[in-house]
Amino acid sequence: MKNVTESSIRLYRWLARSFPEDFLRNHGRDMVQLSEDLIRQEAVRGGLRGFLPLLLRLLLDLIWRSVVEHAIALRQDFFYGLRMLRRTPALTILCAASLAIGIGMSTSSYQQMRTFYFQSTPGVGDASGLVRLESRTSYPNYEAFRDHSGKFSGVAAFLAPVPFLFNADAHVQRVWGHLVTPNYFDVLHARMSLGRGFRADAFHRNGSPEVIVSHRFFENQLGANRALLGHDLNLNGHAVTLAGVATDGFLGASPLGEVADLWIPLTSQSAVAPELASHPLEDRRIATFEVVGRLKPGVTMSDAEAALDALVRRLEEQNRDPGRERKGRRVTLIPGGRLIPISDRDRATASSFPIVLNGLLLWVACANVATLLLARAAGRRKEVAVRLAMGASRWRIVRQLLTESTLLSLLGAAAGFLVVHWSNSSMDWVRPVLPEYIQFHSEMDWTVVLFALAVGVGTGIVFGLAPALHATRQDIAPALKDGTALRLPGFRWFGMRNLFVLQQLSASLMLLLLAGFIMIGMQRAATPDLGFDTHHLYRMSIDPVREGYSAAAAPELLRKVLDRVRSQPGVESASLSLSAPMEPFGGAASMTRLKQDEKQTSPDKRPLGAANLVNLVEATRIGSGFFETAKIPVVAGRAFEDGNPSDANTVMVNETLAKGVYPGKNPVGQILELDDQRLEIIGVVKDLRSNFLFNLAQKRAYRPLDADTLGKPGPRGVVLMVRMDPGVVPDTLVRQAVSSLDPNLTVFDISSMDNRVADMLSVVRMTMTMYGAIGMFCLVLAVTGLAGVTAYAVAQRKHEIGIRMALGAGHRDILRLVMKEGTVLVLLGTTLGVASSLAMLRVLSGILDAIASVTSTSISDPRIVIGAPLLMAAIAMLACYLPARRSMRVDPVDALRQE
Amino acid sequence: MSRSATRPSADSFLPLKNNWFHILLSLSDQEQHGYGIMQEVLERSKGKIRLWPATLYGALKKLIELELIEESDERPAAELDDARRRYYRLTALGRRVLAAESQRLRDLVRVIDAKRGIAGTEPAS
Repeated sequence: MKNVTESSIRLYRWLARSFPEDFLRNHGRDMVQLSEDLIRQEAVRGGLRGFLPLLLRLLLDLIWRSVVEHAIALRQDFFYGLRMLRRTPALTILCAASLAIGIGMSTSSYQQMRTFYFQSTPGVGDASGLVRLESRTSYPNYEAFRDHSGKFSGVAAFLAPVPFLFNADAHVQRVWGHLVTPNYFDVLHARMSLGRGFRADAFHRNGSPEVIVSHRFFENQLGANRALLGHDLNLNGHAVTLAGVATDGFLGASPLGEVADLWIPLTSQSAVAPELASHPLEDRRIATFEVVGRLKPGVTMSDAEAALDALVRRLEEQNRDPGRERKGRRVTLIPGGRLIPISDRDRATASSFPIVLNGLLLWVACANVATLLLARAAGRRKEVAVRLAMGASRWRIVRQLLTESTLLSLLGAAAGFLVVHWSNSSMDWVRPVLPEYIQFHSEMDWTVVLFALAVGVGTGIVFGLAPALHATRQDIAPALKDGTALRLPGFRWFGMRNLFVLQQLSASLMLLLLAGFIMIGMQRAATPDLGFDTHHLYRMSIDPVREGYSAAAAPELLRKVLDRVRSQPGVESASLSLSAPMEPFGGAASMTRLKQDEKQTSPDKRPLGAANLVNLVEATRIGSGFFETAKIPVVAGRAFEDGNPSDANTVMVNETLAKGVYPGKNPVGQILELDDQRLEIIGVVKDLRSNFLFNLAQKRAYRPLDADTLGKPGPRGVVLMVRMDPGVVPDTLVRQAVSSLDPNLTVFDISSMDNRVADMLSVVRMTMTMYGAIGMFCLVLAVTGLAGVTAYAVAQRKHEIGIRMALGAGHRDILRLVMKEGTVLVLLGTTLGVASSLAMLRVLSGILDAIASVTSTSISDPRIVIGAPLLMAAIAMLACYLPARRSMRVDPVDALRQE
Repeated sequence: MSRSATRPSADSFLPLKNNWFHILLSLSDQEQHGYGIMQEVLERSKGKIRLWPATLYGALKKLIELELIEESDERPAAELDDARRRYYRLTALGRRVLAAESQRLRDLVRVIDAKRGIAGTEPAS
């Protein structure tokens, strides 16, 4: 029993230590004493039966009261903190504002990334269970995945994008669709709002293939007429039966890249879908199918990936695939139910830059607040000293100061929500780059609120701790006497204050430089030098094959169209091609440079994986007059000519390819191999910006547009590019020329190159404004921080300055003394900032091509590399000078009297 | 601002919390330490009200902050004194608050008495 008693008392004493310190100091001993007395009495009086309930009551009472006392203390700290913040309104507003921007910007960036990367594909059910093949594959491969992998509850394949001509009341319209396996909707868990999904054979009773249309197509094109269900629609000149209408919002498995309003089964005849004419379902060399699958419960993406990879390797062996020896993965899976179809790894890469930038912004904002708090803590030395002298412990005061800084950052977080709100509403500026049917629901949900609160409380504690510890680490006596311990060090190297200023200066400069690199880089990218002349240049598309012309008749028609257009008054020049400048370039082709001795051997005799495999190049087909119309200079050799039979096995390359593959040599006359075709280089043209901004110069090959290609163009038809005389608009002109040849032939996707550039520039300008704002913001922050710290230093050294002046120091000497510290800090901070921003940029460029391409020219731009640090240093010195000048006004008598 | 100008009136504390009333009542005729207060309240309420130590000292702390009681420097006669413990006594304000609360309770009892027969004070039989 005695042991039990003593153990109980020890437990009680131990738990009692959890009370707030004030309480323990005043009442702790008595409280514990009283409880001990009660425990001992009960132990003497009776056995365990009375003892245990008593102990339990005592402990409950103790714990409950401890919680209450802590709540009371916290409440006191809270109101005390509020009073303190109200006493220095300018400082409070400055801190809250910088935190608001820091927290607001990072929160809204977090929210936008979440929205952007994690939004499910609209209309798709149980999106998290879906995976997609990153690259396209062949139909036989798909069949193997479907039947033999064992990892999926369902796998669907589709061909996209596929244009259809929808003919209603003699009015023909081009509509995008997918050719799909009949289980497409089942795998995606995409519901029908009307009718039913495909039947297993996907043919209607009357023998015509079935079609399912999107909800918006049903409303806009079919007038929401339910009577049409089960009846025929006219697609590509053939009857297909309307089987169902997909649920509202569903626009296919990949609405961002390949929006669809129509879905037709892959089993339809090639008459309905010319894409099926080349028998892609049987040919394992045609890798044009996208595959989406639903994982069986419990199967992970990497499981499935490994299974599919093994399956493909086995198929390659079985079919004696010539590439079967190559190394590397055959199959990569990515999440299949997300609007932005990228792998988690790529997502992490793509979001690294915003994370770094916002992290820096938040850091600079918090560092600024910490520096200001540090300066303020100095002004409260007396208050802190009084409280310490009254017996408050250091921890008690640190807690008080932490409560204040947390309050401050919560205030900032609250104001940050305004920034988030503002940035949500201004999110509209990214709309021009996204199709209008994609709706991003950028709403604040609880994770966003939680994120902001966590950031707020976190920064409050982390960045309030240092000033709080600093403020409480002092000798009480001199602080109480309102004087300073007389120390006359020339320079304190690693005082906490200096470290704070240093890291703030360098972080701000780093941010300023990064923003500057991006801004100048974008400005360069956005300058008119796109590699071609956009003025009075127009592009439009024609697609005769899909409109009923045979592969043999289409080239002849297109040639006539071109001649007719060229002969129109007001047309300066015109050309045909598969893509216009600034558009996706066409396909990738694997290119091989031949060594001299290999020129005679045929491709299949050459060993595979030979050292002269160059890599993938972008290849497209262009007609005669392309470079002339776009005004792209030919720098060596010649361009393709109309009807020149010797052009057949030739190729033109851009400067990047020429320099990369034939350094120091004349590329004209060289032979290269493109997708197993041996071609002679006849000319070199200047580089062209492909994706406008975010793309490094690519190796490119141009091949002549022959009749074969015109007979089966891609889904986007054939591009007709026209340069007009100034002031002439091509629309009606070209339409008339085309309809004079065939009144039914449609001309679509007409746009002016100038407008395309303007659209993209508006996005660039917005981005630049944003980076500019970030740069300005951190400049202001750095300056206020430095000014605050210098003012604090002057105040702290008032006494020292007084003595120096009494001993005969002049105003200039004093100014020099104060400025010396600031100058060293500014120089050090600037150097550190430049070095770390260059290092950071190198890292980021390694991760992100976009950063590399945008900053490739600006990284050496003297305006930034020298200008930004100079500007920063100049302003920082000014921020030092203004408070330092105050030091000259110190009255030595006054300063000394304080002792 | 002088202290008297901000001194609260006794009525502003009413109605008094049950625990607080019992503590003030225990201190009305003599200075006491925590144990004494606990014992007296326990006896007076015939074992119904027990002020557990943490609750008791939490209340004492609050009453000191409100200046209703204070620590006493004087000690009772040596044979009664328990040197380990702190003693508490009523302040003038505390005395007035106790008087005001007692008056409030008396008035309440008078109201109940006037309504005898309705308020359930009849014998249980």
